[in-house]
Amino acid sequence: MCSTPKAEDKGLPLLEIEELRIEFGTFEGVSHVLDGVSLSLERRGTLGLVGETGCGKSITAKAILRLLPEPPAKIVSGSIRFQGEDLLRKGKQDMRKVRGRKIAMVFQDPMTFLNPVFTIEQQLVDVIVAHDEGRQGGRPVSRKEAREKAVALLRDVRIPQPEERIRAYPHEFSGGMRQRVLIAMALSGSPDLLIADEPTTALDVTIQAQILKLTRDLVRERELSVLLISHDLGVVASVCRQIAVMYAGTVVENCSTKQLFRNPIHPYTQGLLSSILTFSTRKARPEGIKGAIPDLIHPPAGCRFHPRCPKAHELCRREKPEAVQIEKGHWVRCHLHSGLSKNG
Amino acid sequence: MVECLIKIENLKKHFPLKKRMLGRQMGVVKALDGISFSIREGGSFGLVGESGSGKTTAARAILRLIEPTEGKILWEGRDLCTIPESEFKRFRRNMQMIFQDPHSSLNPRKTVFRSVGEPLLIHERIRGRALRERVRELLEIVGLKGEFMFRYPHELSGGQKQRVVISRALSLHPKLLILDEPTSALDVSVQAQMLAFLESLQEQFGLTYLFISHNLAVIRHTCEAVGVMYLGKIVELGSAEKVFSAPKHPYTRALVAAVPIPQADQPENAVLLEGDIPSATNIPPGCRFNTRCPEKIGAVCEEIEPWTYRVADGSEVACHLYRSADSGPSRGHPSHLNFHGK
Amino acid sequence: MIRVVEGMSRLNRWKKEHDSQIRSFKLTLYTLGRSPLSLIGFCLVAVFLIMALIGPMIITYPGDITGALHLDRKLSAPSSSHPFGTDEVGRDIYSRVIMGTRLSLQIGLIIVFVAMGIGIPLGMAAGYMGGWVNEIIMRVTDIFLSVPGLLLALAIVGALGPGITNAMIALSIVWWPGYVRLVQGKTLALREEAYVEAARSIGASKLRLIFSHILPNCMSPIIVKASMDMGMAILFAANLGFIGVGAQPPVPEWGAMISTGRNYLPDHWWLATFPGLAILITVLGFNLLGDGLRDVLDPQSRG
Repeated sequence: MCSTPKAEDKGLPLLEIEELRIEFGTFEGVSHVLDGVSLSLERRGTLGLVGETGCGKSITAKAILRLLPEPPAKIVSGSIRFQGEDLLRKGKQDMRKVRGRKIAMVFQDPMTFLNPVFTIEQQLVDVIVAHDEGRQGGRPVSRKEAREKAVALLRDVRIPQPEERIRAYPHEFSGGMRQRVLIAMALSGSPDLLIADEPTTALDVTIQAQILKLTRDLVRERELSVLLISHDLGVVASVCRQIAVMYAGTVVENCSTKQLFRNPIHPYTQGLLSSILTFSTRKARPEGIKGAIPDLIHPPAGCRFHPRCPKAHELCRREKPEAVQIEKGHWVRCHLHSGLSKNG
Repeated sequence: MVECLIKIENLKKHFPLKKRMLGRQMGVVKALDGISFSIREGGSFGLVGESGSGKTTAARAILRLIEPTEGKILWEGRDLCTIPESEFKRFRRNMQMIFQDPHSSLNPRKTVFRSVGEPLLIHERIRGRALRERVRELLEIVGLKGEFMFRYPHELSGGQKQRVVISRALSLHPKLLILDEPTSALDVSVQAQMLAFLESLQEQFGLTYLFISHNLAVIRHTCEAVGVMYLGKIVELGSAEKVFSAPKHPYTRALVAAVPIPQADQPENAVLLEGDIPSATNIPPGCRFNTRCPEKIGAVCEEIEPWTYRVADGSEVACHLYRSADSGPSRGHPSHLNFHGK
Repeated sequence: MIRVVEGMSRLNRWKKEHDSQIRSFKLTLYTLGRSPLSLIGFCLVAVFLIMALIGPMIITYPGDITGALHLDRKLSAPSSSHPFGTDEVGRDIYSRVIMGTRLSLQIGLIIVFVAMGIGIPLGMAAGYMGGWVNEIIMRVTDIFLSVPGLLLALAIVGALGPGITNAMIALSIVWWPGYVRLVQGKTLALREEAYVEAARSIGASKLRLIFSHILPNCMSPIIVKASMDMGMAILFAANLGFIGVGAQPPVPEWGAMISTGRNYLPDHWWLATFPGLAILITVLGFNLLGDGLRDVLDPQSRG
């Protein structure tokens, strides 16, 4: 039961996750953090993964790069296909070649990812040289060339006066600048896919706007595909053309940005949209969604959202819904709509 | 004439920068450089700004958790800055603060009971069964059942922790509640509930709120009046509706434009600020926003600090652009703003 | 019968109220149990404590603890009646080693508690008040820390005169600076925590802030340090006893016993060996336990 858009529709997708299931061993029991996550991202596509705390979006991102410590995490089933190959079947050496060079990741807090005792130049050059190792053919890059490339990268991420600023230490940069440096580092291996996990959550609003614009520009200039993870639908909407909404370990709705806001189908998506405090107009006080995120050690049977769903019925308590295509490119996991035909 | 509960006049807080512990003073961090506003009794006022704006310092200075360098805090007419520290401790029960991060505002080694009961223990010396009863009542007000009394903070969700913090703040029946980013640690689906809850509390107990946030949407939904802060000063002051729907100061405009909108059609970014927020140790001369201002007039912005001008719709803007639009006598500095929202 | 029921319901209420604490205690035990080394440490310390407690009940020759003379039995090798052999005046070494446990426990506890009693308040005062108070306390602490512990202890005992009490005084003086350092650092960090500021805004007095808010959150590293210090304090006391300035014969202190036993090596190896083993096992146990506790309570300070 493939829940992703068929491969023939758009050419082979860059990234395709199918029914990924991951468990975590904890003191109190086994936590079923991911319960069948499926999504796909095409070349030069931008996909936003949206959800609240505990929904599993960060875990999904880390799973792609196999960054989860494998105990206590355990990948139970499913596949993560990148450019046709299943990343879950790759060995450590092969994964290292993928990380940074094919897929790069940017995290939330730039300060903890930059070594405070080395200059930006040293760190960038190290990364560039490291990515160059294992490159087939030609002579390895010299440190001088790497430095030039580093300066060029800083220019690409719009850091002013990169030739001078490259010699600075991380603490001399502001938060927004550091995030740009991290993005530069991520781009140094010329990856095809950039995963950004809450990249702007720690930044001020005006700086966030700059970084989001930079992301949009980079997507255009470098033919980059982006997987953007955020709890903020506004952030995701400003960068991504596709959105996947996650709840308690599953993707409950997967569609284009326009479809999501114009025609949200899943009750969780609807609840989420209606509980956002929108800035643009002051409408009536939003409701919020009743209840709380379920305990993933003892998750609810059937559809994990049913205890909070205003439209739940008997079937929802018993069976997990399969993904169904409502309209072209718009998939939902909800029993309310499984009656509709797969062609929308 | 609506009574004003608290009025801040030209509040300043400068931190000296010392090289070593006993070394010379190298400079000054002007975290707060003269802000003035007032809040009516029962009203809600919001201070909005990004990092370095001084809004958190303002909250601490008002509570005198840090001592203001200059300025007045007028509470029902009386200047709080003139009260000596020993007396002020007793006064503290009138103003309470909900700190930014609920996860760290509760002592991890104290049960909910001990945390919530502490103010009562200190100020009213209630103990034992009586204390338990009061704590139980307080927890009920915030919607937490008695069984939460003996839990530790790490066993509670973010929203529950926030409620515990609120019930602790309410225990002494304060008149003013300062809320520092009350919803930023909460999930989206819970935020709206929390704000609704805060509003119901306000009605039930006749509280006055001072909200501090960088989240414009939260402020818009909760406050009648707003002050936009940049590098220690209020650059725009007015009713929330007017400030947000028709922002005048270039910074406010940029701030409003920068908020990402969750909707299908995304506007092209009209105003995008370049560069970083300057550090408070190195405040630009003239108008402090001139280094990033997209609507800079010229030399006047770089040399002269703008006064605060009142514009036609009642807002006050600290910007040279509005010099001629000033509908009232121009002021040296905003020392007697008496803005009462709504 | 009603009393039992009453007692049960009161117990249930207590359990309910302290449910969280019970659960976190269980978690501590579980985590501790997962590391084999800390389990070993825990067992060794447990054995040590049990020996200290039931000592008088399991020794075979209570008279031999001090002052007895059985010259006819002197220097006999380990046997069924004397599992650890006898010493140079015929006393049963097994009984003396067991009673030495009790003595060592007393010594260790006194040293560690006195050191904590001085060091913790000073450290908190220094960390919380800052300024010149902090400078004075920390510089004095630095002076003490700059002298190697054993030498300082020797110097102090040299001045005071030999004896177990003076040895304990000397070692307490050597030990308290370590606690000052630890607590001062932690206090400095905790002072800035949001909940301390929140308590201040409620109107808590300085004393309340220090004792009710900061101190409980310092306890983890203090407990870790204290458990490791127990072992080290016992070792240092044994060192002093070995040199001759600590416990004086005929007190059955392990160090003193090794000191006399040394002269009878290698033919009568049992005089020195068994007390030595006792020290080894005790110190090892406390070290392993302390390490394990640190992994559970204070993981950030590892390394």
